[in-house]
Amino acid sequence: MRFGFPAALWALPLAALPVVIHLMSRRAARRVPFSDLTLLKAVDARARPKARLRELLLMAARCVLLAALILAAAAPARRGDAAAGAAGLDLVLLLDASYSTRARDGVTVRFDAAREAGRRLLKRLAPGDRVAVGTFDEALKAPLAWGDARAADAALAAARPGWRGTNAAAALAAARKALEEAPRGRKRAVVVLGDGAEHGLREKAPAPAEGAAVIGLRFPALANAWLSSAGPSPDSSARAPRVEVRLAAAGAPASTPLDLWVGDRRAGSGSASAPAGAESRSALALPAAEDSAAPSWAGRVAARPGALAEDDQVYFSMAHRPSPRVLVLYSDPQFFRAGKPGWFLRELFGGGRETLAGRDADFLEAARWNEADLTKYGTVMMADAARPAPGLSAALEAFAGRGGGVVFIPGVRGNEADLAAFPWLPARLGTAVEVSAPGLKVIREGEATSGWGDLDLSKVSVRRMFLLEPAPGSEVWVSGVSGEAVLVAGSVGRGRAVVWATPLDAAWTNLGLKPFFIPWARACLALSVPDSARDAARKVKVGDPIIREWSRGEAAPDRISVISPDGRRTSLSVSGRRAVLPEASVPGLYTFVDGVRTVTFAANLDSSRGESDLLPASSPPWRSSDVENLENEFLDSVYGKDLSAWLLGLAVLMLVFEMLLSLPLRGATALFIFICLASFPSRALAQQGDRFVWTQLQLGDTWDPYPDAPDLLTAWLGEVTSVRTSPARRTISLSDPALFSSPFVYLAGTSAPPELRDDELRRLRQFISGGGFLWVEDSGGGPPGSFDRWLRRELPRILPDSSLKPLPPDHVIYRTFFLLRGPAGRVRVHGSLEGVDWGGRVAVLYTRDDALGAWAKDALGKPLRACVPGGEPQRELARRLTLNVVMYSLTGSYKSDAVHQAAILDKLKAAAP
Amino acid sequence: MRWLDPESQARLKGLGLFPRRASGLSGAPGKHRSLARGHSRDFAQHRPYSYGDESRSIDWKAYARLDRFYVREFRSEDRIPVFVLLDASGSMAYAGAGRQSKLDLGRRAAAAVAWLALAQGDEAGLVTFGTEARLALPPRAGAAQLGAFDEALTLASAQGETDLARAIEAAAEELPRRGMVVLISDLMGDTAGALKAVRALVARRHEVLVLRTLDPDEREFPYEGPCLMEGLEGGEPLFVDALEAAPAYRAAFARQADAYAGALRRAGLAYAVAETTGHWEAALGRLLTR
Repeated sequence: MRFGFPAALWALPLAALPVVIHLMSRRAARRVPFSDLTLLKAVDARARPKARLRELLLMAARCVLLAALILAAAAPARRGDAAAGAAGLDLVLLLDASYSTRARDGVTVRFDAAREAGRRLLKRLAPGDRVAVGTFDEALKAPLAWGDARAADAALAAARPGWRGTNAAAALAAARKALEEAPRGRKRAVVVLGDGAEHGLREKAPAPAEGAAVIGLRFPALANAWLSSAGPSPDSSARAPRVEVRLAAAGAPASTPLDLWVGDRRAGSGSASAPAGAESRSALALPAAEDSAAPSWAGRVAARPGALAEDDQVYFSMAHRPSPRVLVLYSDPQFFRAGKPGWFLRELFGGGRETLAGRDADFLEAARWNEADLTKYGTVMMADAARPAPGLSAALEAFAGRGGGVVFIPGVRGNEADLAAFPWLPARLGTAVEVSAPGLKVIREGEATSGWGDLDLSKVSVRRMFLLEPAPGSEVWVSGVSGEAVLVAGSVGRGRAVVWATPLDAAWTNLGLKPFFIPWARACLALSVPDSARDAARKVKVGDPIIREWSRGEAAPDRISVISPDGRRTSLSVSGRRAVLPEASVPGLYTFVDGVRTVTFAANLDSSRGESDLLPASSPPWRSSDVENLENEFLDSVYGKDLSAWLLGLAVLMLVFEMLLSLPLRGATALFIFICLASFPSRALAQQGDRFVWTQLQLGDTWDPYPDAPDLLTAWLGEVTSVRTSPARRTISLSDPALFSSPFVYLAGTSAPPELRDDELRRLRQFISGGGFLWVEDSGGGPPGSFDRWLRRELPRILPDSSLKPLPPDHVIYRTFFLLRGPAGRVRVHGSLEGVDWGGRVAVLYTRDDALGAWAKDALGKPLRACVPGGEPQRELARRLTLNVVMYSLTGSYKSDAVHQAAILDKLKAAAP
Repeated sequence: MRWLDPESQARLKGLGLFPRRASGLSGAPGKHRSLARGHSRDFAQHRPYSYGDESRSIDWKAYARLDRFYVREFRSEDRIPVFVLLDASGSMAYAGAGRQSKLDLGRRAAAAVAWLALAQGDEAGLVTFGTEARLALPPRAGAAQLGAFDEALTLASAQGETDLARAIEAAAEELPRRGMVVLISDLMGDTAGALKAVRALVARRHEVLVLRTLDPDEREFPYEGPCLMEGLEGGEPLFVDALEAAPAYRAAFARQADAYAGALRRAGLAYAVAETTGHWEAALGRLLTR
């Protein structure tokens, strides 16, 4: 951290000012005498924690605000990683040219994005700065050399992505070396223009040169799947060639179709899927080789192109040795008769159809052995060995010694003496003996006997056999149940020989009739000449040299031409039986053509070190930056960053925070509650429960002649009846939704209110027809005035079908609670109450004697207006009438039930004067 | 008269102290109807004569008609004792700027009540309660009692820390007889306790009226800025930011006022609030006419 104006930091203690002010304000508190603190203490105890927290937050916000302002005034700048220096900048640009940078983010190739970011960076350099550009993949391609920005730009423009892996550590080490050798006193920076993937950092990167800022690019993680290799599958053979490809996936599981191309033809297809971070293998069947004598295949397997299309195909070139033929020598003229060995063996080797033993065979009488060209055969099988023809034993020994295989099966006509003519066999055959127990035991496990575990060897019986005496160094593979050796194999010179202890005649063994016969035959042949001796696939990595060597048996040409994947022909000279193509520059098939043979090499990308894994490095040894922000990051790292803007932003934030906190919380809460209520206004406001609420309609100017009267009335109501009352009256207008939750509505007036609008009429009609009770009172208490005329004009508009009629003297309203003899009020002018009958009840009651006026009291609690002409008894009657009206609105015609009549009559009689 | 001026007397003229229902209060003959039989002009009933009845109460006219002795019974009319329970705790000494103290207001109301009671022939007595309750003046009728009452009020002074509920209970202990009780207090303190104590008074079958004396400051809390509130009843001063505490205090005060009004109303007791500003006579009028 550096400060442009460090003197301002001396003002930093001022940031503690709010704390001081807070403490002083506490000390300066006024002493106020107050009557009783009980309530205040309770309030304070409830509000204290919140208030204290708010106080603390406010103080903290103010302190931070002040501190931020003071710090901003000091013009701070974060120091860049690059050591301070005035003489200029030494910048090393390392451009990653590995094949993984060919990956695309959408349409942009990462290599191009990184390179352009580097070129933009170069434009920001000052004239005195020096740049060294290095392109690297597995190593730095050329030594770093210092130059100016223009040369560096040209170098970047000329760079192309390669086909090899990444080793960022090596490049960083080179950059460190270059910077360490550079003169001191200059700023230093290294920028790695790569894809920042984990695979580039398999090796630990060296620490950066002293005072050097290291910045690297970062790209988003990309899931990728790739084909890592193709080659012969383990079960591939010349007869059934199969190519195995490995599909690897990183970031996400992958599933892809596979296409097999041999030459220019699409020769097959398949599919593969691999879980994330793992590899799967799939095998594809190859077509038959064009040249069966030297079967070889070259082609490619392609998967669906992914984020990195280049690694989604893999080339292969493989060859098999042609399957060795078998020469079966027999001596018995009856060899092919049923039950004889030839009968079984002919079936085994095909009898004109597909061979079951995996190899083709020729049959020849042992006596005519010298007619055969033994060099054509891989294995010679003595199918029923007896007394050998002259020279046969020596010829076979020589055949085996050259690397051939011999399978030796004694014949029924053989005997110990005759068979002693083959002393080079791995086992000496003794006398023929009877075997009592059926069944065989596998002594050794090997590739030849793989899969024998599934077979039931106890059903294979050997009734007679020659005792075998294995020679030293030979291996017993199979024995009888009691341990006598049955199958012995061993080396003879460069080749191998196998001895089976019993003739294949059905009289001696049932082997030929059992399913075990075929695996047995395959094992014998495999033990004699292993079929797995196949040529290695011809594979190279891109970038490596390709070497074509000629063995001693082959004639090496002087010159050879190589056809590259792009179709170019290159002529190479052969020296020392070797031709070397210095570099396989691109992946593909390289065909070496001489006059005799064509050999194809497959050059593939080397993904063994995870180059195709595009997941970004978790903790790269550099400061990571997006492509867009590289310049800013570079400038921040090298030249530092001005922090005052941040501090000013912080100050503004604190200011807003402080303002929010200083707002009266109550206001905010009220606002919140108001918003909550606004969403469902009618429900919340009209709640009245089971209490009687005196509701007064606000209509006209004279709607409220006696404001205190309703309170007195409801208090008395609660006192003398069991009606639960709400102490406060409710005043509503006609548009108030609470109208419909107020079953009792009182309307008073002395002068006419304005005409009712249509919507008000409609609401009143809804209210009355919905069960509401409306008490209208002309408070004038004199002759009919404007209010009376207004009501008689408006009522027919509200309820068109009904009219105001005087209530009969025996109406239930006179006995809902008190027994009354007639109407009463503050004045006695009118003979009866009037009402509108609606649905069997009085829905609108109209009184003109100012009953509520009898309730009104002055400030001292004395009656406000005198009752004329009856005085106080009349007041009492008026009060009783009001109560009856309220009870009528609550109970309706309940008191007119016959059950009350007797009591009412009694009371009337008793009270009669 | 120190605590009752003619102006107030003029305003209060026409008010009276009437028990809600004819109670079984016994006392000297007065103007209040009683459930007991006694001597007045109000005929109650005829009752067959039984041994021990005074011969002068026999209705001789009825005997002449029916040839049997019947006794004429009359309703008793009693005078009742009216006790003023005056809160003399420390908090009553509070006086807002330029206003009388709550205690003075209470004294005026008490004097008015006493005057009204004595004027209608009833007895008036005074119990003050602060730290301890004291029967300052035993109930007596007669014009001379008013002067004594005035002196007793002058002697009362507000001081000390008071547990409101306990103080009212203690004052109730001091009441020598059943009667009408006018409780004059600021009711500042434990709401539930105070209400319980008032209900206890009712349970002793006193006729209870409650007059609450308040200063507007207590309702409005008109202070600003950091304040060190010192209670008149002692205790640790309380530091509050008045502006912040005011809304919550006002709400709590309103809740308390509602609680008193609601609870006393439900209990069927007369209740009124008198403030040190304005006409306390109006509040007293409301109290007595309810």
